[in-house]
Amino acid sequence: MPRVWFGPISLLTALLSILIFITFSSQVNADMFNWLKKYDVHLSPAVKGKITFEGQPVANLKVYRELTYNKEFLDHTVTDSAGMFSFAAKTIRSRRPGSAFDTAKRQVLYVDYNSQRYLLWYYSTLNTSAAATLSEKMQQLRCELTQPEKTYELPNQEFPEHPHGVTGVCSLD
Amino acid sequence: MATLTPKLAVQLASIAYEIKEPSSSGLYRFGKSAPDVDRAFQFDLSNGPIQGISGSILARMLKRSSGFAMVGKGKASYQGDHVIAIRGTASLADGITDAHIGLTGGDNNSLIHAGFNKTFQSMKPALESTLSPLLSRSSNGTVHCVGHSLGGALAHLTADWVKRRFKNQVFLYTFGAPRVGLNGFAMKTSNNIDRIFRCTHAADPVPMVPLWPFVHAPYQGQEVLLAPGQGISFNAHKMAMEASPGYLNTANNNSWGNLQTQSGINHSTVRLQYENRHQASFSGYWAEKISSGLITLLKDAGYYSAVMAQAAIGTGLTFYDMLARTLEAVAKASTRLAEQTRGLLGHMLVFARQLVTTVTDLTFNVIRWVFDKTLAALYRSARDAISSVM
Repeated sequence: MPRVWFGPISLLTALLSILIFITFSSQVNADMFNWLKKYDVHLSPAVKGKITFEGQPVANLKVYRELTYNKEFLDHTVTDSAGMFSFAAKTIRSRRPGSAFDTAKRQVLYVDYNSQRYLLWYYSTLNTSAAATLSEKMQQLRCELTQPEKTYELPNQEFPEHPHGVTGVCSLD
Repeated sequence: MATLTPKLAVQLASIAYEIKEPSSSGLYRFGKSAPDVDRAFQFDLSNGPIQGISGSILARMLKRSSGFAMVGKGKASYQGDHVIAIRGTASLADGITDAHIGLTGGDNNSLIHAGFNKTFQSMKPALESTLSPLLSRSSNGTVHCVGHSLGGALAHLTADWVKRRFKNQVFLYTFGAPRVGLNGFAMKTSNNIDRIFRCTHAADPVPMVPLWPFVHAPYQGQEVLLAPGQGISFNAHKMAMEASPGYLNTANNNSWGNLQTQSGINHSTVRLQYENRHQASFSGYWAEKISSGLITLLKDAGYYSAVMAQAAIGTGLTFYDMLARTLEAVAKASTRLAEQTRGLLGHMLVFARQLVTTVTDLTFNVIRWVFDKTLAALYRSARDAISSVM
């Protein structure tokens, strides 16, 4: 919030003018007070995947999910004996979509294995809604850690003219 | 020597938002989420594995300027070029919407917005140390400066500085950017920067502020109007694909030639009749028309040069106090000028959606009050949504 310096009388005047403003503004009314509302921000769909190293499942490995939207939301899970891991979908409520400013949303999945950090998934967008292609891909991540990091161009079902770019070691073909 | 396509420019401006929040893992892959950008520019200049990023130019930029700007190296058809993508900051949001805007002498000896200059000066050492090694080697490449919103204002100052400092070809691309300085700055940067693509949506309030005497560059040049529209809407300022119209959507084009351009406002002669004031409305069109009416009135009364000179030297009074004093004097000069002043003030009150729009006394207090209402109406629309969540 910017500094607030209303005295009692100017506060009254301010309230009054806000009231008048709400009543008489026709053109900007629609989005004037959007920022008071909270919106859903879809940070991550449900994630399911398998981690292997030289083809062998990696068990008991911590998998981190770092989601960023104005601040960081970090959680982790551990792979089972078959190298499988999963995360539940994550949605937050935020006022930010109602503002005139854009806020970037970032999805990062990574593991630390044999003192090396491996990027499984990196994606960033200004959209707050889910993307069908990515929700689908995140259900079946096959991550062989010896593979080099690669950037995949994936179709954007919601906004076909803006294909997604996802980077990581997991195979998305 | 090629310009960025509109599509590439807007995507570069949008990825500048990726650097706002730091990542605890340190895993940044800037530009990789937008395939067009990934094909044309490389942001991880370290070329190393994941951990290598800590020593890169990028990471240093992130630390030193808390994620304002990032520098990318061109590849494929942009080989030899560089891009500087800049985002805006919350602290600047107050600055463009403050009626008591401070002016300061910028690097090119012309008057610019004090807040923009302060932020730019804080970024300059990091820009200098990042760009020097890159540009001294490939001095014939083009430097593309891009930015959305307040980042556009910073990109403008950056472009002007890069041109003077490194003498490379410099192109500037802004989306929904506010005005940065007065006439002198606009003229100088229009001559200095090789090309300026200033893109707007008609309903976006941010390019409408700060009000005159701030003017846009290119000076009396063209602007790229990406979406026509009525009224003023915060949503029109956004980039996101899911916004309406969203700069990412409206600029998604491979050629500037396909996009609609319109001449910048030349502040044509406008004399506003008091009895016609109800034709005014709260819109970008009327914001410009009222500015033109004000300038015409000052010119008719022979005060225009004096006001501009006073604005330039920065008097003890704020600009609008000085302007109100001037109009009080103008109105006393003749009945014709008094009527013209009344017409201007009446239009301002209707623009600001005041319930009572009759103007009786043409005293300093009344005139100053009308200015306050007018500025508040426009600035509120730009400010509320921006600063409320910061």
